[in-house]
Amino acid sequence: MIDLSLRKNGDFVLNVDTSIYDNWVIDKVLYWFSNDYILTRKINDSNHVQEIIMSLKPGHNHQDFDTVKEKLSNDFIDYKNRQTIAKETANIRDLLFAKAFANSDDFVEFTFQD
Amino acid sequence: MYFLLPFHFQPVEHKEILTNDLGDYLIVPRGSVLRIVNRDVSPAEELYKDLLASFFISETPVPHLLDNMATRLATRKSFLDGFTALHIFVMTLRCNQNCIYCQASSRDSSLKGCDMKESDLMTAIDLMFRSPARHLTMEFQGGEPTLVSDLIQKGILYAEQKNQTECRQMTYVICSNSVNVSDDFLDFCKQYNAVFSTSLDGPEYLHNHNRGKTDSYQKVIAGIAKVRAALGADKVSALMTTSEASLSYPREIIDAYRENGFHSVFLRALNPYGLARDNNDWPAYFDAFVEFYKQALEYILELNKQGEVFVEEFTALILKKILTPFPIGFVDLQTPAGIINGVIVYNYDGYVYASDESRMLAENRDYTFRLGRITDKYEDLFYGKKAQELSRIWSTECIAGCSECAYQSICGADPVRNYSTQGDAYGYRPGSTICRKNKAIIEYIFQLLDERTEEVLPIFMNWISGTR
Repeated sequence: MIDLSLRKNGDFVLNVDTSIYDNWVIDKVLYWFSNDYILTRKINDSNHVQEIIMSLKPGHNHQDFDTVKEKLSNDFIDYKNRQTIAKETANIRDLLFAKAFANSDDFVEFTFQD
Repeated sequence: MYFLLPFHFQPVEHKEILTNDLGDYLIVPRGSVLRIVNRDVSPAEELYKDLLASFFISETPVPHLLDNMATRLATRKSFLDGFTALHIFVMTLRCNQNCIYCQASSRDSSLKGCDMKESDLMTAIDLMFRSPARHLTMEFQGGEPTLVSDLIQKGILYAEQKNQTECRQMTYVICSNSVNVSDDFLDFCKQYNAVFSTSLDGPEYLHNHNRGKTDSYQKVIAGIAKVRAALGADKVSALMTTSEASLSYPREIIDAYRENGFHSVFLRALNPYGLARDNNDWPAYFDAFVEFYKQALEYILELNKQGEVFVEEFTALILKKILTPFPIGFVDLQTPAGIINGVIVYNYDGYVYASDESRMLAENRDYTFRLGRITDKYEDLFYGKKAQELSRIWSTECIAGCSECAYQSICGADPVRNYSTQGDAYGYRPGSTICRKNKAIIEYIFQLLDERTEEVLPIFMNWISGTR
């Protein structure tokens, strides 16, 4: 899960359970926030929680807490789904690209039985 | 139980747009992807059948139609087969208009040292014929290329001579402001079936404002009429550039094109090159451009519903990528990128550049995308170290921010634009104005297809079917 809180200085503090969301997902989610926020990440392996401080960059518009929380929550679920799709389909994607762009004579055709 | 096939998705409001590398798409309720991934979609559901038919899931670990899928993927990338098809020859940097937003940094028409050498032109044509493309387009640009019309004629004659043994399909395009084209040159163009591409920014007050002139519109309209009379009505196309002033006149621009006998318009945003680079706030400009685009497209759809076939060309290009399995020749929306793979530029300065925008950067003494001299070997230019370096970052499939994007096969990679706007050819998508603009437009087109299907689909199919 993720948990977001607001500091008095306006920084957001995001805690991510790394047993649910690994660094692939965290990296991808934070990438899209990095234009507006300076991101500081602290990894604590003992409790599977990564703490991320999100400080608004100078000159960027403030976004309200609920909006950021909802966006983060959705993004983590979406990128987790993207990760699952990418992992489960990696081999078939390789096969597809190989068949599409390599010399087809080099491949043995599959035969199927119902 | 079913198996996932590779796909991407993008949430848009209460829906999710699903796309794959083959060109299929589905628009489904928000939360559907989670259900798909969790194997919660039952075979009895319509969604299941749609997912199966559109190659988002498979009932076997390796899909029965894998060969079919591979053929479709290869077809979508078949623009790579011919390699470089568009060869741009920048004949001179001199111009007789010198517009205020000029992206090519044109110079005064009397200036010396800004014309291509004849020997370079001939060598460049030799290079062009090294390309394996069956269809070659020679596009003459400037400045104003008709200021050196003798040189263009020599180039076309040389290409024709070489083509007697090469047997390629040749297209000659003269990119001209049409202001001062001679009768003799038009006779020559007619003989070799050359076409003209000119610039028209909209109604008189807007066109003249953009050009910083009082009489440019009249001259261009007279020039278009003259070229049409000599070559035929269908031999002249026009491009508009949306300056900041243009953003307030979407309908007026469309009407100006209609009044001047055009049946299409290409709503083209400013490029951050040349004199146009000095814009105060690019993000604000592109946000305003997207609104301008939507208003203009809405008006164009109204015209089509009333029976007038009028096409917005950028929309048509995106629609071809969404609704057909075929690639398009537009280099800005290609992955791998259009630079080198689709287009190359032989510049008046004797050098070869990766794209039109690359040579525009060179006018600001930035030679990052200069591939070498026209006199260098073909292999060194097209497959050399610079081309190899660029190839590592010219596919949306491989770069951060694009690799998970649902629009990666519709949009394109553009290292030159990344470099020009962000100082880094790899690019940074969260801060990219072109990413923001393209995403907004592609999403809008998907929304139209989803929410106003019966109204817009017949119009869109007419635009892309080739029957117009």
